[in-house]
Amino acid sequence: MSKQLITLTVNGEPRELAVEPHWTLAEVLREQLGLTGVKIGCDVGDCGACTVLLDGKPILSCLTLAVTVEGRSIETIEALARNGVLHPLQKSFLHHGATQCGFCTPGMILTSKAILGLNDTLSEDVVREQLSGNMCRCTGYTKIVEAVQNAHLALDVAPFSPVKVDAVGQVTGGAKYADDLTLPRMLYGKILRSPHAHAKIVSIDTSKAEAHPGVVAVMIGSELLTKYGILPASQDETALCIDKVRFVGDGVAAVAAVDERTAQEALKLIIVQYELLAPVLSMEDALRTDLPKIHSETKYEDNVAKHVTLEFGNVEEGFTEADLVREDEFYYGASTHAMLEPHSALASFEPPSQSESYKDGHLTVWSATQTPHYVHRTLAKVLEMPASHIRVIKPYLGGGFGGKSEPFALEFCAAWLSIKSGRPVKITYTREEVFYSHRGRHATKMHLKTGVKKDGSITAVQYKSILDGGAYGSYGVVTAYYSGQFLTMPYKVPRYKFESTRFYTNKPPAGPKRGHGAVQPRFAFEVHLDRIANDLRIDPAELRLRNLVEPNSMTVNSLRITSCGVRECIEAVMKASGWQEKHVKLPRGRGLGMAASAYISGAGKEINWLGLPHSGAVVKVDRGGGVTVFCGSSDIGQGSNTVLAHLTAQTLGIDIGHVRVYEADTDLTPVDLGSYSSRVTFMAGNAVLRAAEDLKSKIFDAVAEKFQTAKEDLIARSNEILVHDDSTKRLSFVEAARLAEAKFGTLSAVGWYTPPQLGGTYKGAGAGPSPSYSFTAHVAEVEVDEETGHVKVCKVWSAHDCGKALNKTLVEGQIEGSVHMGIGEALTEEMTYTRTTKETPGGLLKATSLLDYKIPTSLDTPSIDVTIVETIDPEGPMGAKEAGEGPLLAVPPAIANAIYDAVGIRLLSVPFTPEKVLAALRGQTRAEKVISEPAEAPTK
Amino acid sequence: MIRLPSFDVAMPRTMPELLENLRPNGLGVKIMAGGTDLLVNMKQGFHISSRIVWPGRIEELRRISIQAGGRISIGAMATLSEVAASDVVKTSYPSLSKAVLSIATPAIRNRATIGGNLCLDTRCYFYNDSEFWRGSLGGCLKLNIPTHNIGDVCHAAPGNATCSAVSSSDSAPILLALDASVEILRAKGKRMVPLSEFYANDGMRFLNLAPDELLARIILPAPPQGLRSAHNKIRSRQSVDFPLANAGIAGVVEDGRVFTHLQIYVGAIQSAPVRITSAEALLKGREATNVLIEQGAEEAASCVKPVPNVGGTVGYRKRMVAVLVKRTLVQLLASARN
Repeated sequence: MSKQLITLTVNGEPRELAVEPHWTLAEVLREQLGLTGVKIGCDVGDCGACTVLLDGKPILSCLTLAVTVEGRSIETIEALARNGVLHPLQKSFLHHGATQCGFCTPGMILTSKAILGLNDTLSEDVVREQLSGNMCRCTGYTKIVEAVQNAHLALDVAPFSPVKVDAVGQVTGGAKYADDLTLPRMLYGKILRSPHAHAKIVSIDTSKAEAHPGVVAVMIGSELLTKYGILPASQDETALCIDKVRFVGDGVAAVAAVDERTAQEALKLIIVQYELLAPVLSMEDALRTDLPKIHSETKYEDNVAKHVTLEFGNVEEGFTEADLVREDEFYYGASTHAMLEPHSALASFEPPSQSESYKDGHLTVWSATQTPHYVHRTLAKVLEMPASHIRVIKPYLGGGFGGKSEPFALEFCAAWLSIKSGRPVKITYTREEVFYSHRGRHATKMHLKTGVKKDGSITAVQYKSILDGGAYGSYGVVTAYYSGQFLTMPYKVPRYKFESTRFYTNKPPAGPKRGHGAVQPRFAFEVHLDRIANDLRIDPAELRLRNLVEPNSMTVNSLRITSCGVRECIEAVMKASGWQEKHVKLPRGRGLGMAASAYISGAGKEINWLGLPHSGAVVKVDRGGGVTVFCGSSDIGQGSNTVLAHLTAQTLGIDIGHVRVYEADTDLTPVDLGSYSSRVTFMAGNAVLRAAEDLKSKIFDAVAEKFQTAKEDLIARSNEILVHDDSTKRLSFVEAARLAEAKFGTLSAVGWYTPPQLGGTYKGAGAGPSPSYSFTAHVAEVEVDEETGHVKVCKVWSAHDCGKALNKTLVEGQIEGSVHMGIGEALTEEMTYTRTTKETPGGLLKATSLLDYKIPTSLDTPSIDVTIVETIDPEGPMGAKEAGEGPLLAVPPAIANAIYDAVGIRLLSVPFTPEKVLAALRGQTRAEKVISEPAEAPTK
Repeated sequence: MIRLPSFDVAMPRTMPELLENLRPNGLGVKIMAGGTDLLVNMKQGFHISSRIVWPGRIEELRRISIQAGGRISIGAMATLSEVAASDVVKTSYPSLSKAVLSIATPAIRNRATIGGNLCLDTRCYFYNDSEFWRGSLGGCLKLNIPTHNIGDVCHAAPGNATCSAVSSSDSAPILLALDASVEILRAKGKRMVPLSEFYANDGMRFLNLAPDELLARIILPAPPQGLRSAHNKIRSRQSVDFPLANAGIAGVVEDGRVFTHLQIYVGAIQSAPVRITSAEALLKGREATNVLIEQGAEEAASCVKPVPNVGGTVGYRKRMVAVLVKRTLVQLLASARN
């Protein structure tokens, strides 16, 4: 077909464009006009990220042919700021902290713009309805709705303060995410994927693809033989499959071509011959020794990947001592991160100047990763290049939640194809490929046995879980340990035993998802505990309060608890929700449920156990008083750049506007291990704090000398250094810094953080210890439609102990987002697969789109009431600890317990689909119909 | 991005030009209305056609008006947003406005059209997926993959000889209940078809519409005196979702308690909306007690035959038919009593 000339107005400017009839508006806006504020989250009309305005009305540019908008007016996010002044909506989004990763932001703002100005105050319902086609995975929608409702207040030049230091680009479309980057002569890469769940690769013929016009390079697995994996114990992946495929969607070959369409076509020309193997599709299958092993190198005869057992104290003794011993079985379905931004990597290879070997060349990879350091290490290993010749940069990142926290096939393939072709290569996954990359929540079966005394005190807990790990190791060994290790918090468990087994199956690999390993057992235990409360006729909140761990204590499995505000959390949500007035007192159909939890602030042990700092930072001052922070940390939307800037500014007594943070660039920034296990505020925060303190010390030395005063008498405040009892002696920060530079030379400082020695001495003691733990409690209120089985979460009250909220809005945002994600897991999200029948092959993921994989929309996410509890952690930076993951853990059980309060059914299997609700209602036993009694005085 | 295969787009400006474009030319022409479903399908590798005809420039196909005798004409290319916001529709048939507002998302409704929604391709787990995914599956009845030489299998209901992909239109059941007709154009002439004759319960050939024909207008009768109507649906989440089941019901209630006229349509269960005449017969002419309504609802559930091909189990979707019919009937009675 031939190009057509169309005229249209784009962002107020008349344009004449030559377009192919089959080009979408999104393609034209992003690639021809460079308007990369048009985001592609799904490309099939489900997520709303590509929304633009057509004559003022929101439409989806991914489902609009460019030729059909001829003569019309298009507005993208880039047009909103005029003459250097932000639009009120943009200001309001910044002011309310309504952007986290920012990937949904352009679509959100444009969709909102269409209803703005209709009247001054938009009701929450109207805003939620209007935004119901724009998915957000970070914020829980709360702050977005607030920002839109209050945008009219920013219509004038009313003062507003942005919550984040780097969010302006997110609201203007200026922020570049990995897929927004292009380089001259850049090629587009695509990966061919296995259509079979389990098969040997007999042969691969790439000759036709190589001969296809426009194809520049093709690669297959045998070109990169080195195995890798995120853990030393999970070196079981290769960039592409070499001799066998292990799940539907496993990568087999890759091509690079002059455009993406050609690459797409070329994949169809690669002929792969497979020899089918019997697939292992369930945990039961994984125990069968008559089925083939997925990884031949394991020590087990079946498909067990890891088995761990740990016992602390004699649980049998505890059960004997108990007045009541209760046992329950639970199931938690697999779910995935569904971050809005698909994985994307751009690799650019520079050939060596003096040798013929590519290994002497230099490689730069921009990748949407939470862990640039691990990607850096692993690229060096797999490509057999010196790490010093590889640079990994994380641009703006559109959400991770654990789904981008290890190396992925596209990084190796883009790099290798760039080496082979001598041209930059970009690979961006389709939404379907994101689902295959997975690394999300393990489907888990659990058994719990708990002994309690009449007064509710726990005497022993025994826990057993089996985890469906999918095709590769990922972080699975850690998951297996985490599944058991965290059940000794936030309640005192004097004797504890757990057993945990992770299986390989022929499905996309499971891995770490927000609340890694701890979410499933937390669900089980909190529901189990509610049943025990019911058995003992103790109010479930009261039972929890009676068993809480104390600050500055040690759990039976040697987890060191320092600051601990779990009691304050529970009391706060009881008060806020009106627990005493409402629990067991609401009319049938409506109910309240509670759950509490604890989570780590970073892992005490680094993955590779190298004994090196977990985080490093450099802080330098320029002569204009600007302070630059270099830290390998990765802002993935949670706001770590803002936290690091805040710590620096607070320490040096300067405005946050004078601080710039350079992050996540392995050439420029000292190593930080990455944004996973809720470690960044605590660890990178401490590293930066240490560097800033050191810098301040140098400046104080110089100033003290000048004023002939003791260093201890100096204060850094309001961009000045002052002597605290003498107002005549003061220097501006700029002057003070110059003085210090004159004295010490170029002014900079380094800082780093290494956790203290933590944990027990038993085998496995390395998994679980953290320098600090956060604590959370939630109360959920639900409404159960007993005819449709639909559960509506009406409201969630959350209280979270984050030590110290360095930025309250960011902490709230983490909690609200966690609640959203927890609701999705609890009610609508699940990864399920086809079952093998005579007609149908098994192992095909059923939901491979954001239409079929149902994350909650703005209409499915309730209003969330947040209380921040501050306990000032003794080792956290300025007292802070984590807030990003912990608040998810207790959401599903709070909902389960609320459903029980509403209609008297116990749902023991996540997600609580309408079918399960109806089945439970049909099967109600007499005993379960009795709603738990209010607290009674314990009899002993 | 997923790149569309190449094709040509004809964008006629006049009706004669449009009809000329529909003339069979051996190339296989595909009409695109809003494109919000068709382009998804094309990105997923089906409905591939070398030529697309887009009638979006023809104003008269977007018009919503009251005609002689009070009939209402809705141009097939009117967007769902335009239909929902139309004063004509809101005044005469608010239930249609409500039904349309429950479709997809605000941005999609700004582009998707009422004609497109009526012609919406039927849906199935084993069909609405990427080319790669379906290739892994090995094709199905609805989507024969020639390269795999497979195409005679139904994965949702093995052994079935006809495809059961689901009609997911939210506007069809209510329009059927309201006795709508459609005007169909082709190069040589036009025909009026009652909407009740427009659908066939076959997931592959579900429309009474030839490839060279265009659904041009929807005609609704002047709102009969006393007619009440309502649409309800059940879905997994409150937006970005197709219905798990829906119901469009219209009726006349006398004395606030007896249905003298009643049409019950249930959608999103089979390949076409299902009219439940047995439930209508049961309910008509008798006092609509709670017991009677329950009976009618149960009758409706017993009449539908879903297969496991979209979200929700078969048992659940049947149950939801009963719930929807009951709730919608109660709504009609309540509105008649007010």
